[in-house]
Amino acid sequence: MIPRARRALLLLGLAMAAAETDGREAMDEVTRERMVAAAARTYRWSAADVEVRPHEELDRAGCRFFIAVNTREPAHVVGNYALLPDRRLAGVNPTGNAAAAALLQACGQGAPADWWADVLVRFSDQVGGLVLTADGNPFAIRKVKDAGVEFAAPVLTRDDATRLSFFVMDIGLGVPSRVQAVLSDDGTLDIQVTPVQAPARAGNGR
Amino acid sequence: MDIQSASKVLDRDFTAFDTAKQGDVSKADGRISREDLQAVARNDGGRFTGEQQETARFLLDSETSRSFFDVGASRGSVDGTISRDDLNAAKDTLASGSYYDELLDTAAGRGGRDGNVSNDDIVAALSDPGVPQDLKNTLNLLLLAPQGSQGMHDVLKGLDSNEVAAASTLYGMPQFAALSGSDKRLVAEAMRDSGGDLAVNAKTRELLGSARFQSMTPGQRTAALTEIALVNTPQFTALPKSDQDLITTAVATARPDDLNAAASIKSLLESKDFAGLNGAEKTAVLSQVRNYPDSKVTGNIQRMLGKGWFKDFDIGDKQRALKLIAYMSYPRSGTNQTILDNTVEKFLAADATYSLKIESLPAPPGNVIFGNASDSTMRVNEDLISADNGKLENNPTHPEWATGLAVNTIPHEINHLINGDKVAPTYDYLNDEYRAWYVGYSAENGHPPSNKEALERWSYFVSPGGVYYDSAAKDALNNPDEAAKIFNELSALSGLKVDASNYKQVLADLASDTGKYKTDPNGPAVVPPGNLDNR
Repeated sequence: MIPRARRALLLLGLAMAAAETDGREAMDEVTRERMVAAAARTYRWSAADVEVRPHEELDRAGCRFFIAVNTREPAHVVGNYALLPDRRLAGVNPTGNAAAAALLQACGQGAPADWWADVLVRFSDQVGGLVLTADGNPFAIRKVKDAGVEFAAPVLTRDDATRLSFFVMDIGLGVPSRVQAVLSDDGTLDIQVTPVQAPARAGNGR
Repeated sequence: MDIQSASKVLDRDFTAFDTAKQGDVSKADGRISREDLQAVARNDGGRFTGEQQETARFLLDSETSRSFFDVGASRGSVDGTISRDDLNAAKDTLASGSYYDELLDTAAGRGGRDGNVSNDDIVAALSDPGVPQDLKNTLNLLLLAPQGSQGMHDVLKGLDSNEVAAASTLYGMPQFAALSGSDKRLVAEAMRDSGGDLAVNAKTRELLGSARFQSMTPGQRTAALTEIALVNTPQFTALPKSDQDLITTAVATARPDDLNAAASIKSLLESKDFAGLNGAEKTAVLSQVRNYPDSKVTGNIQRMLGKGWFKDFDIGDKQRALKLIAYMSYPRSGTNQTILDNTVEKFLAADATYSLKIESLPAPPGNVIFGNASDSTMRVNEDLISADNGKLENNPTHPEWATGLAVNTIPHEINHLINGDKVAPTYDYLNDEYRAWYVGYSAENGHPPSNKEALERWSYFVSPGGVYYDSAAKDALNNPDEAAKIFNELSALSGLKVDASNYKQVLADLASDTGKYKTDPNGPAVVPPGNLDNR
């Protein structure tokens, strides 16, 4: 039986293969259009309002990252997409944690913990918000400390699997959470999210 | 002499009346004509008793009574004669105790028993000396109702003599006479709608005669009388008992100074939009009227029922919209009701161009989108509001999200629409986001944010990984002119000199020690430009 995460990856790969037709130049436009279409479909935006921008801060080891932004309306959300070295496109379809696992496996070797945390937050379906790095949002870090929890920047360790620990902040709700993720060699990604304090108040889209 | 006495005399002495003009009992034609009555009244030939003469004069003077006998058998039109059949049928009608509709049906002396008491019939009856004063008083009372003479036949049909007497007594009360015209209409409406019900009459008389009522302000009097009128409207009585209970609870729990509570519910019940709802929808509406008992809430609900976008909702979204608008409209301390009221007006005013859409809003993994707005449409996340008839603050899951959606997200998003905000990699757009946040915060908390809270918000804008950073701040910070404006904003909030070289450190210092602010960290934040009250 194919593990759930791998099955999702296979589906992702099949979807990509259909887009690869006319070489790199054509694929780039097709890929861009796929990201536009995915953002429009997912967030119910007009495709004409969607702009896909490179998010080069995350690019590494052959993985290229993009964000999709609604340029017309304050949408409080951006779409996250990434092109893997094998030209598969991550983020266009719901894949559970498969897209995050694929990116971490393909391009995460040697990457800092901050990169792992950012990719995880952008591409997993279990955790979202603002990753709290050492020089990250100081007010969010203060909320972690105010909750009586010792703050630590993202930490990556390796034993029988790759283990990632970090804090993330749900800005809208004002709630920080501790995230613990384990990426096994077979591509299985297990994520646990534990709020460090109760929600304080509601906010808008984040 | 009255109509009952006249009936008895005619019945007993029919032949004498029938032949009065002829003066010969052998020439009876079976009909009593006007000339016969005149002969009796003149006592031609000295043949008639005083009682017979009095009866004749009564009938000659009372066209209403004479016409009642004339068409007593309900055949044909008034022809000026009373047959034996007419008399016998009239006797039976009178004996039933409920004859006021028949009495007035031909009061004007024209037509037949057509089941229509016209305005002319009523006018004729009121000036007819043979019509009992109690009935005239009752007519005068009922005519004060908004329907006037319309449908009077049906009203009179249900009245018995006790009810007419009670209505007459009510009409004759000096306290009733002292009421304003509109208050009299409320009493009349209750009497008419209740069919002259004796219990309603007694309750009204008790109220009018009470010292409590006399000590009320005019507004309180109107409110008290409206409560009686409300629960006797046909719209109220047609509701299931459970829905009626929602209304009576709402009236009972409204603030004492909300003098329009009952009137607003009455207006809602009588509206065509409410009438057009099905049973479950009516219950949903009345549940929120009960949950948030306030005339403004009820008025806003009534206005929402008329909006096309609300009519298009299924029952679940109707329930959600009712909760949201009711919660936003209900006055409570600790919120900025002006912003909330203005926001609601954007949806409900007669010329409102904004609409509400309730749907599941997709979000990136691990995120929740409360709502967003574009093209005059406010979309709210249906997943955050349960489709039921409870209170918004009792939402089964994350009730603070549901209420925050109402008093923060919606004002925030409407503020974007009002100001025409567009996404751009500029300080101005980030300031638009700051303004919308400022308005949402103010609406929810009843006061503007502090310098410290505003600085936190701006810190979020410029934090890598955040939505606003990705979509706007990153590029703005890379543009020296735009970046300088952002740093000026941070300076204004903190009182510190902020530039590209130190802004991260300044924010870190302020987050760890509020003593480093050169402004009052708890003082009101910098006021953003643009519309701040959603008017």
